[in-house]
Amino acid sequence: MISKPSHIPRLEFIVPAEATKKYTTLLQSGIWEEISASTSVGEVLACLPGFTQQYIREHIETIFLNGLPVDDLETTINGPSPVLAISAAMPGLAGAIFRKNSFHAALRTAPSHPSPAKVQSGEKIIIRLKFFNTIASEKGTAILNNGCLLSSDSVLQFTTYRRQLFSDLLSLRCDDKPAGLDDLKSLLHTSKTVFLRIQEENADI
Amino acid sequence: MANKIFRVNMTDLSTSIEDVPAVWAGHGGRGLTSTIVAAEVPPTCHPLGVNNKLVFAPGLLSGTPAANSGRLSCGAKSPLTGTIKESNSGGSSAQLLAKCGCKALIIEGQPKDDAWYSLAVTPDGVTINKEKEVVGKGNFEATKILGERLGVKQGIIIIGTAGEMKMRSANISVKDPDGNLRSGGRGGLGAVMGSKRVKFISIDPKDGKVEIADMEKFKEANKKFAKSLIDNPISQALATYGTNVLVNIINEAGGLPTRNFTSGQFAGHEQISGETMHDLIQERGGKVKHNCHQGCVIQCSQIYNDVNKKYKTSGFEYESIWALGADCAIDNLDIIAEADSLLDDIGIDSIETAVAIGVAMEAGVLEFGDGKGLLRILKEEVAKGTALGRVIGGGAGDVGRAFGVTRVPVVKNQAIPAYDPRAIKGIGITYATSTQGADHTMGYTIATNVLGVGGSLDPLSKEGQVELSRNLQIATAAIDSTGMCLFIAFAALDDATCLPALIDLINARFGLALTGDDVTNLGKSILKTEHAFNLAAGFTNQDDRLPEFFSMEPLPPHNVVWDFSGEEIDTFWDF
Repeated sequence: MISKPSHIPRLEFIVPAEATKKYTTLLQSGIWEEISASTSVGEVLACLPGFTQQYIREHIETIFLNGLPVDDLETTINGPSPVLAISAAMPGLAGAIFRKNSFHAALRTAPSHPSPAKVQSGEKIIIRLKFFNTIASEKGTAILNNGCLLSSDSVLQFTTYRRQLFSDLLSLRCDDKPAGLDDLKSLLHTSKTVFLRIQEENADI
Repeated sequence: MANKIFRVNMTDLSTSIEDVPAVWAGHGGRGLTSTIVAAEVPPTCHPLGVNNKLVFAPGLLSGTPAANSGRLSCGAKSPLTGTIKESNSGGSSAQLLAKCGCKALIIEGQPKDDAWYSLAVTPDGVTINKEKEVVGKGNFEATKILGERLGVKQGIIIIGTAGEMKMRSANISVKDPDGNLRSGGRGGLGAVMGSKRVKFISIDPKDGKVEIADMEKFKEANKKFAKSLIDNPISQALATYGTNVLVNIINEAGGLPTRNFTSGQFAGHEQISGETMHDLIQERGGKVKHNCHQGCVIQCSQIYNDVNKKYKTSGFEYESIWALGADCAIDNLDIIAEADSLLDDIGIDSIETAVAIGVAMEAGVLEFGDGKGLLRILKEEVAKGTALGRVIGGGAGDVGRAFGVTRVPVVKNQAIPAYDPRAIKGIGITYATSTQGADHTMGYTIATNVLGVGGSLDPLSKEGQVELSRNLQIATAAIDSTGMCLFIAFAALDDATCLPALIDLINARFGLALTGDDVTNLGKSILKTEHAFNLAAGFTNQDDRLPEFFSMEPLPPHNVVWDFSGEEIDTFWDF
C-alpha cells in the first residue's frame, strides 16, 4: 500500500517538441491516483485527460481490477490498494477470454480468494492505474504533460533499460534543481513514489 | 495449374505426379496433411523410421490473391508427441507450391546411403539432387548460399542442424518474402525431414498460376474479407505491437508462467512487454510491422534490430518471448532476441526449447535469469549436439526425465505454451484434448456462432467450457485447412461479414456452394481423423490430461489450481 510520505520528489523532464509520446510506455507501470472508495471504474476513467465516454466505451476493451477481468464499467473500486489495468482489444484466445463481455468469458478461471477488505464508501484510497497497448500511446501524452505519480523503482528501471531514449533529453530537474540521470538513484531512494512531469521544449506552461 | 499430388520416394529416389484421389479433393492445409498421414502412415510406426511420411500442403486458397492465405501446412507422425501432427508456417512456399499445381508434396521412405539430398519442385514435378554444400550449416548461412545459387525468387523450405541431428524439437523453416525465415515450429517435424535426409526443398513455379472458377465473385469476396481484417482494432494493435502485446495483460491476469510455471507473474514483464519492444524497434530503426507472406494485410511481424541498429530477428512472437523471458526469468529483450535468432539458425522450436531450458534451470543446470548461460547452452551445446544439447533438443519432457524434475509442463510430451491453464482454464481444456499435444493455436478464438457451432450448454458450467473448447477446435481445424492465418479470427469475431466472405472465397475459387455447416463438418471430420490415428497409435483418454502438478500446486498470485476431472475432460470427444 502506498502511504503519503512527507516528501515526494518532483521530477521534470524537458524534451524536444512532440517527444513526450516516446515516454508514454512508462505508464505500463501504472500511475497512482487518489479516489473515493466505491467510485466506479467508468468514473475513474472519465476523470483522465482525453478519456471521453465514447473512447472509454469503444476503445477500452480489456479491464482488470486486482488481476481479475471486469465486464461492467459500473463495477466499484474498493479495498486498501486496488490496481486497475486498462487495454485496447487483445489478440489470441486469451485476449478474447479477457475481453469485456466476451462470448469466450466462460473460459475464464473463477477467482478462488475473497475480495479485499472494503473501505468505507467515500473514504480516500490510492489506486494504481496501468495503461497497456494503444491506450498509453493514444492518451499518455496529456497525462505525462500534466504530471503524475509513479513508482520510483519503475522510473529508475525505465531510465536503465531505455537509456538510449534519454539521449535527446534536454534537461532534467528534481525538486527544481538541475540533475542528471545518474543522480536519480540517490535522489529517489527515500521515496516509493515520484511525481513526474514531462514538458516539451517551447510548450506553453 | 491443375492440382496434383507430387510424391517423392527417398528409398529408391523416384518421383511421381498423381491425380488427386476424390476423397482428398475437398481438403487443403491441415485437413489434407492429416488425411494423407492417416491414410498412408502406419500409426505405430517409428516417427523417424522408413514408414513415416512427411507431407506439405498449401491451403485451399493458397496461391490466390486472397488476403492472408499464405500458410503452409506440414504433417507427419510427430517424433516429439508420437501423435499425428500438423505444424504451419508463413513464408512464400505455400503460394509457390500452389502455383506449381502441387496440392500436396509427400516425402516417403529413406535413402539407403548416408548422403544428403535436396528436392526441386517445379510445375513439371520434383527432381532429387545430392547436396553437400549447405549440409551442416545453420539456416541463415544455408539460405544465403541458396539465394546466390538459385536466385532470390525461389521458395525454400529447409532444416537446420537440429533437423540434421534429428532432435525431437527440430522445426522446418520457410523463406519469407524478405529472405528471412518463418518456422513450422511445433512437434519436431524437422527431425522427420532430417530422417528422410532432405536438407532443403526449392520451389520454382515458373509462370504457374492458380485457377479461379469465378474471378468476379472472388474479387468481390476478397474485398469484403480484406476490409474486415484491416478495419479490425486487434489487427491494428497487432501491426503496432505484434503478439507480444499480450505480456502485460497475461501477467496482470496472473497467467504468465514464470520460473518454470511456479508463478503467474513475472517481475520483469515491463522490460519484455510488447510496448517496450515497440519503442526499442522504433528507436533502433527496425520495423514495427511487417508481413511474413505476400498478401498479408495484418502485418503482425516485425524487424527487431540490436542496440547497434543491425538486424537481429523478425517474427518476434509473444510465445517465444514469454518462454525465453518469463519462463526462464530473463528480463532482457536483447538477450531474448539473440536467443530467438540462434534458435532460428539451429532450426529448433523456440517454445519447446525454451521451456526445456526452464526445466533445466529448475534442475540446476543453470540459474534462472542467466541469460548469458542460456545463450551459451544454445551455441555450445544444442547447436553442436553435445549430450546436454541433445537432451535439451529432445524437448522439455526429455529434460525432465534426464534430470528427475517432476514439474514438467507438457501434454503428450509437447511443452505447454504461454498461458498457464490454472489461470485460464478454458485454454487448459484445449491443451489436454488437442490431438497434437499442448498447443494454444488448436482451439482459437473463432466466431463459433457464425459457423453454427455455438454452445448449447451453460457456458459457465464445466460441461459448457468443454463444449466451447471443442467447438473452437472444430472451427480452428477448418480454418487451418484454408491456408489462412489464424489471426483472421479476430476480425471474424467482430465483423459478421468476415467468415461468410471467407466461405465465398472458397466457393468462388472452386465453383462450389459451401455453407457454414459444410465448413463445420470439415472441421469435425479433421478432428475425428486425427483422434482415430492417435488411438490406433496407442494413445488413450489418459493421455488427455494435464501434468499432476497443475492440480497440486496453487499458482500465485491468485492461488488457483487445475480442477477438471478426467471424466469431465473425456466428454470432449462426445460428438
